[in-house]
Amino acid sequence: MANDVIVETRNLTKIYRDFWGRQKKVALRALNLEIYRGEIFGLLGPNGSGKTTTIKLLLGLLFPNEGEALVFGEPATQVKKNERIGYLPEESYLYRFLNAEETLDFYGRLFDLPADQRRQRAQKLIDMVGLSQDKRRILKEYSKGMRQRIGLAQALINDPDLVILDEPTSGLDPIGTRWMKDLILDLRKEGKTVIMCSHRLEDVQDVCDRIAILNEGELQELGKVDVLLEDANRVEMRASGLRLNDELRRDLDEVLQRYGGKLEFIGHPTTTLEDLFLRIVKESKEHPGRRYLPPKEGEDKKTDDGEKPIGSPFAKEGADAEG
Amino acid sequence: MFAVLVIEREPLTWAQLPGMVQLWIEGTGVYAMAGLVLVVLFRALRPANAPLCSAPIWKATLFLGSVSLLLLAAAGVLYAADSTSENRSWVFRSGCIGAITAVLLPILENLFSLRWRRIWALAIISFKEAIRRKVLWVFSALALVFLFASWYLPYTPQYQLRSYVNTVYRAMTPLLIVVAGLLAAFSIPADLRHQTMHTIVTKPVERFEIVLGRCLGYILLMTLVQFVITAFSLVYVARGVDPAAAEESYKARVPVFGELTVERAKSVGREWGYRKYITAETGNRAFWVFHELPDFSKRNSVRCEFEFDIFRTTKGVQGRGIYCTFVFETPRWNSKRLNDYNIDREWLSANLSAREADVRAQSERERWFPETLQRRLRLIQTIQAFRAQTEKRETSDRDQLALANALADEYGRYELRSKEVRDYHTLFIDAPGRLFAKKGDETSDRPPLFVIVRCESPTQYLGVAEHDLYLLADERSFEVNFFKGAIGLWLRICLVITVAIALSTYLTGVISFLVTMMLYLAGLTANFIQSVAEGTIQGGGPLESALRLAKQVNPLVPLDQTPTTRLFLGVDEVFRFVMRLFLNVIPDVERHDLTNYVANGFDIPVGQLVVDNVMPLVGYLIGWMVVGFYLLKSREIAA
Ligand SMILES: Nc1ncnc2c1ncn2[C@@H]1O[C@H](COP(=O)(O)OP(=O)(O)OP(=O)(O)O)[C@@H](O)[C@H]1O
Ligand SMILES: [Mg+2]
Repeated sequence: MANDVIVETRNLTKIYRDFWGRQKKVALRALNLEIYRGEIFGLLGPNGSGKTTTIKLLLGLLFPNEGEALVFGEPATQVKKNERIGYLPEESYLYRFLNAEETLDFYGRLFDLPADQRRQRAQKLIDMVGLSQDKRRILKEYSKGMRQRIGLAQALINDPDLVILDEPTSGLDPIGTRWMKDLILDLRKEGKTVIMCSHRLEDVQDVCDRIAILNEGELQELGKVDVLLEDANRVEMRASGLRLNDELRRDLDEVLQRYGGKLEFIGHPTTTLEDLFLRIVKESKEHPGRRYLPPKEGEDKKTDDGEKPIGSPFAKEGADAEG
Repeated sequence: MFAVLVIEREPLTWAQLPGMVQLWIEGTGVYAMAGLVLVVLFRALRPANAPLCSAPIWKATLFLGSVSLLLLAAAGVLYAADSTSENRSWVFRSGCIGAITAVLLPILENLFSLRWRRIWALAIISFKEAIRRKVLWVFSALALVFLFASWYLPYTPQYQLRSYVNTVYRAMTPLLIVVAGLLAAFSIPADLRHQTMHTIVTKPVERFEIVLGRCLGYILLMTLVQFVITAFSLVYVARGVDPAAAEESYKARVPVFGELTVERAKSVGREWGYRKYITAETGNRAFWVFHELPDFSKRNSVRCEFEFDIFRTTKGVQGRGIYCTFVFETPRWNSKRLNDYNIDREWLSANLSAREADVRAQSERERWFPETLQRRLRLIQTIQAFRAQTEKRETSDRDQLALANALADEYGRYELRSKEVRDYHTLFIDAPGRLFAKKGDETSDRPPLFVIVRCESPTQYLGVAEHDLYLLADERSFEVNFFKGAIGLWLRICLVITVAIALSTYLTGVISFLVTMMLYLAGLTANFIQSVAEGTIQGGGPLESALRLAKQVNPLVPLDQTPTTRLFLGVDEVFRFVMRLFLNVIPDVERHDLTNYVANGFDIPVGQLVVDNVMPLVGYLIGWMVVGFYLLKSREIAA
């Protein structure tokens, strides 16, 4: 299963030219990639490094100057391959005068789906992306995140085998981001192949099996995420049920020195802002009507409990096993 | 009363269709070849390209294209060698057919991948977009016309209907055309700019489906709009027109036209040669030959309407027209019987009451030849039968009509003398229906009817044109005809939409719109440009005229056949061919103007709509569709 090649690029090169054929920009230089069935593949790189260009080449929106892009074993310029592809553009380029239902119906028609199937899938997808409340509102009134959600629903209307996502998490709040990441993982569970590009590294790190790093149109790094990120010279450990003190530090240092290592850092972990945010929103849902109260005058902003984050009046109740 | 149908150009007929198809093939073939060469060159120069079709089809296209190119080159060589050779046109034509086929092959292959559901979805999108963006509010501008136009329109009954119809059509036309052009020209460029196109072409949508869907959507939308506007206009015209005017022209005549011959036409040095003139001189007459007639044999009378121009050399009597003789002759008429006809006619006119005639006939029994008696008894019988049949209809000219019918039945001829003809007024004669009676003795190879017109008033000239006189086969509903007239405008809308969309697959919205409108305007003057290009002007093409100038040869004198003149004339013919090609790009918009028919109360024949309107338009638009296909297919959507 893992060795089925879904996407293959050979020596793929794209040079943007103006009308007279003069060279404007080499956006992609001799890219060689293979993407396998059932994996989540991440394209990484700074702005303008050629991520979107690569994706557009895979979709046949652009034609390569050299080399070729094969999708499902066929040239990317073939229209037929689109039947098995779902694509979420960088910004969701949808008709703003349609509402969510009409949008999904329209794209369903483009897949030549019969009416009952269109209705069924649209219903399911709207529920899945959480837009049931707003499905009759036109997209012009949607916020960026809502558009991203309907864009994703649109990309899944044909139950695709290959899903291509350009910046899937852009414009989404942390909950949306988490939801999107879970969804991408679910897609993999269903046996679909996902290609995504992003410069939010933590997103890529969380979901991708393999990544390619592009810079200035050239492939810099390619491989499995865990292998790439593994730092073989360092060891990390985590322990619970005790507080840090000098004695412990000394003992640990001693043990490490015995094995030829050196203690670099020891301390209490801080939770991520993401986790904090998620917890706050969750608690606010559980306790509607609560709101943040500014600390009383003269009161020190720091709470005595060092582990508790600042500015969360109801954090005390929720301080359980998180982190 | 002002109902003359001035047709500057004869509408095409089914019989001319093969010739038109041939012209189309020759005109389109050269473009197809040029287009194919361009496509191949373009693709050779630009490495970044998508295939236009599957590899085998593309090979076939290239092969067929090269063969056609050779054929066309051969035709050129043949032409240079001997410009009169018959072979060259044959070789040329096959080259053209080959080129057209080569260009169409990729499209034909693509047709198999098209899905109606996708085209329909794209059409609906265009439709919804226009409605939700509230584009159609523009048409409220028409309300102004409806509200205020009647202040400026003339009241005189003979002009009223005409100006009403003309006004509403003139108000509708530019508005509909411009809105259709704007909608169509900006649709695909807007899709590209907002990148909504990206989402569409990454679905299994054929690029050609986008062109077709957009065309269909806007055509549907404009059809709906036009239908509503036309219905409103019709109500406006129907309510605004005064009853007297309605009586004259609020109908749709179905005319039967004949072919006009004018014997010894006079020149009065007037107008643009549309009419020919006759005087009272002997042998100076106009006659119409009717080659085909509907079945009139069951009718009591058949109305013949006419409207002539009078050119006066003397003042005549104020307010009076001039006098003419009209003769209707069928194949049953035998000119040897002219004497009998005249005598019988006199005799019957003198004894108009049939009973009286009967009594006279009885008393004169002995004095007449037996065959005269037989004949007159027959005539009297016919008159009585006619009277019995039309008992209830008590009209003043019933007796006259009975007499005319009896004579027509007997002789196959009807003559009306001293009919007063007025300038530019539609007048009529009721020809007797028995003229067209089937008696089984007519020789079938002669045309069924001649109508001869002579001028009786000396020193006056009577101007006639082919469409000035016609038989009225039927009168149909004005309302239906009003909508038929709207089809002309509808076809123009289709034209503008298709051209604008085809252009906008490559050009920006503004440019597409401007080019479309320029083509449209050029089309309005196409007739003029065409006459220049087709060498109907005297003095020949540019080189010939230059030669004549240099040699100081009068345009009417033929040039002597030196090699130089031959070369020059050859180059001129090539020039004319190039001009004709250039003209092929310009839409023949004027063709689709049917207002004249509606305004003057003439029915628009359905057959004519098909042959003279729909088919030329289809021929023209095929080219633009092909352009749209190739441009969008070879375009990088995201570049
Ligand atoms: N249509 C175009 N014409 C000319 N140059 C272009 C075009 N599209 C992209 N480029 C150039 O190609 C390079 C790669 O662009 P691309 O959009 O692939 O970057 P990206 O990796 O997606 O960046 P980002 O993270 O900002 O989305 C850039 O330098 C860009 O300026
Ligand atoms: Mg990008």
